[in-house]
Amino acid sequence: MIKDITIGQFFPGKSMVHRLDPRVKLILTMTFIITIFLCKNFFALGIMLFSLILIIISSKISIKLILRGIKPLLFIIVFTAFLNIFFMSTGEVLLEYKFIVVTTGGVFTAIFMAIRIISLIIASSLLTYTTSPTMITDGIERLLSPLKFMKNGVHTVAMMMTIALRFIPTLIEEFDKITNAQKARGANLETGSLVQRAKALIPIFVPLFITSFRRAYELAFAMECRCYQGGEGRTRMKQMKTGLIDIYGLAFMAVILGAVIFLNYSYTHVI
Amino acid sequence: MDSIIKFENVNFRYEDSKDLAVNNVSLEIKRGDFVAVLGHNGSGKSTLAKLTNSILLPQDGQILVNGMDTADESRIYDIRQTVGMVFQNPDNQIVATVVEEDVAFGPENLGVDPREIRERVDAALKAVEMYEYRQHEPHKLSGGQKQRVAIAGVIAMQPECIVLDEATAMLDPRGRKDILKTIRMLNEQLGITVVFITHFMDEAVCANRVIVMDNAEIIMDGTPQEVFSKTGDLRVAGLDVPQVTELSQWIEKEGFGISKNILSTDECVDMILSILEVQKG
Amino acid sequence: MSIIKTQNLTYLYSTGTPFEIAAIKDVNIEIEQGELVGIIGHTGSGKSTLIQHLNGLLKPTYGKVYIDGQDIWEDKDTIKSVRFKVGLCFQYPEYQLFEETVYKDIAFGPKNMGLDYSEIHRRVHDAASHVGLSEAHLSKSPFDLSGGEKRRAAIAGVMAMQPKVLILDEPTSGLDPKGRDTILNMIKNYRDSTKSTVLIVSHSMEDIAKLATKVLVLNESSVAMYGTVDEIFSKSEEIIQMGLDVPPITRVFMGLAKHGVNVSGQIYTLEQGKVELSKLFAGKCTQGVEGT
Repeated sequence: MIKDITIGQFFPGKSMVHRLDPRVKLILTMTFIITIFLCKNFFALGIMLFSLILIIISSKISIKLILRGIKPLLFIIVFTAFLNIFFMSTGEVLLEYKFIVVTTGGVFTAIFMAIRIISLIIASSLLTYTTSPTMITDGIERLLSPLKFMKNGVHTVAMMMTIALRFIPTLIEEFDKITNAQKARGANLETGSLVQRAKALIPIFVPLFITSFRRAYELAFAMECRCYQGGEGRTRMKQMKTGLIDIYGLAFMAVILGAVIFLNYSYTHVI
Repeated sequence: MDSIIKFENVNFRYEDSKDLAVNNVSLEIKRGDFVAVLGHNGSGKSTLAKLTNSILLPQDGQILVNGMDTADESRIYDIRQTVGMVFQNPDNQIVATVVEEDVAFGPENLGVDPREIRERVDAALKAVEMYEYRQHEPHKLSGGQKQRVAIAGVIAMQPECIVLDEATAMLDPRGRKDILKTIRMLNEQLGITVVFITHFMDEAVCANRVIVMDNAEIIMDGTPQEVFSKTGDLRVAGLDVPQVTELSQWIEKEGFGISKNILSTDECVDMILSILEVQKG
Repeated sequence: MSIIKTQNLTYLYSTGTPFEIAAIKDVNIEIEQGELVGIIGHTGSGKSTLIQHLNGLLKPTYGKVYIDGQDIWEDKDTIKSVRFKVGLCFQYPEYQLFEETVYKDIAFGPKNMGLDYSEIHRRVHDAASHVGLSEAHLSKSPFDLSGGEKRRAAIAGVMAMQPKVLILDEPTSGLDPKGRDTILNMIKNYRDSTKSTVLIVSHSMEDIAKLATKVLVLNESSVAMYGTVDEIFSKSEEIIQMGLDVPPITRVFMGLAKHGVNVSGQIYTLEQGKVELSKLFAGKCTQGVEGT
């Protein structure tokens, strides 16, 4: 289950999307997500979907991977879609059974919402698929750097995010190991009441926390040995430089945004 | 100045302990040397390592790194840049999520120019033969590979000395061999001074100098041949003796021939063959 | 009847995808009651996967595992009882300690077995004495023990289940020579006094040579060799070709054999080496005397 989650993973590559400046990519992703929410009709959303497909193709990330990223969230998508089907009562009635009323409006909204959420997930996973976590945190750090008065705070948070991302797989592995070790001693993790099950987690979480503290302590040592002294005076190997490709990206986004706003006002009554 | 690290009557005690972890140690490590420090757990050898780059400060005595006092706070980053450190658990010293970004961590902290960082990172990764893995995620590498990335991270800071604190203890035989090969190369080709802390005797064999610690003190100091010939003392210090050394000493004791403090299997084979030759002749 | 038997045991990762990899394939072994088996092989040769099948932590993709003649997956609901029959102690077991006292931690397994208080008490003390932990140790917090003591306390936690088979995954890794010898002696004594079957995964050929009665060599997910220590080390050349080590003393005698010296091919401990050399030197000496 944990291994199914691909959001947050990074797949190195040299595509146009990979080569975008992380700062620009962050801004573009955010604008894209906002634009998705601005969409008021299927025409506008269609434009978003179409451009999303273009972005996927140019990122050279396989469709399979993209779909795998949606899988763990499928439940949420279906759930929201259902809510919309049953609680919207505009348009023609399609089906009526006791208190359940399904209308065309409901079905349309459901599909509309599902597409919205899926595009949202794809857009954000495209960001993480094509940008290394360090570059994302660096990008955030630099985007926020005009806020001089909280610069140190921003660096610290960015560093913490990098380390967290680095240690998540290690801790997952550790969790599996400890679980197996306790299972080998007959720990019962699968059955019993909720309280019993919560209690059964103690033999796993106590060692996990202790190991994590030890790791943190050793890591702090190692960082000190490598002359870490906070954000002050630090340079970066990977410089961020905006280039032609970023201008294309921004232009592309501007066109989409313009098209969506135009379509929103041109067809106010579809959906 | 031909010693890179110099301990003068150093005492160190951890806050929560009543015994000294390092007791009146004086020690000089020569530039370009390959020194193995042996000792059982709790003998003080790891403490000795942490004293060399200002992670710990002595309560008595003085430690000089390239003439800089480790207690001098204004030189702390110069000292840590001069003496790089690799620790036991490879997982707990890698900071970044991509190999090359981790190797860049040290130079970035030192404020090195980005273009130069790139060059240093590539060179360091090539030196430890991990260049093809530069885009990989560290958690997917084997223990030995992770440890080589950690070494690359230290080399990228261009240190004059590397201290490896039981860096092979958690590795499998293959990983251990790779690390040993890597640090020998660093020592021979890049001229980096190596202080190699371990409890595997066979790893100490390739050093120029072996220091044995027991009970917070240095109890032996010499060439591997000298140290390993004292099998009895080593056992008392809770250490092993290489099988071939023990065999060759037994040969001498039984009066079959003269032992020349043999350290490798090849030497041992040659010795036995020469005894047989003599007997035949 | 053998205590452990596997039949075409195969475990595949990522089944149904093009990345399907066999962690172990077609493993057929039979281990007799009371043996002390050393399991050797590279990291990734399938050692961990194999041992996790023997106590039912992993379910075979194909094939069967029999413990005491019983197919362990015949009835899914009884799989937990297999874990008490086959005690598995993972690498760095000290990282699984969690209780307030060493006593309570060792009692975790027996408690899960549903034993009564007096039986648990007896077993905890039994296990503690096997690993050389005193009454004073038992009332301490496991986190106040030294590294070697922690390791021993964790091993006692598995021994306290009184399994018929005890499997230890690299029980000495990370320990210094003294700590290693303590653990190895402890394992030997445990086996001698309980007459139980013990499997040890190890990278150290010297330890295996000293300790084991049988050796199982895994290579590239399959069983490469299984036999007595004599049988295995007489094939040292093959072992080296797999990229595994043999004890240095074995290498010395292999070197001698290569130079045409007539020596036994089954030398893997220092003592054997000394005996063989005595014979060799004595023989040559008399020849020399006769010649003059």
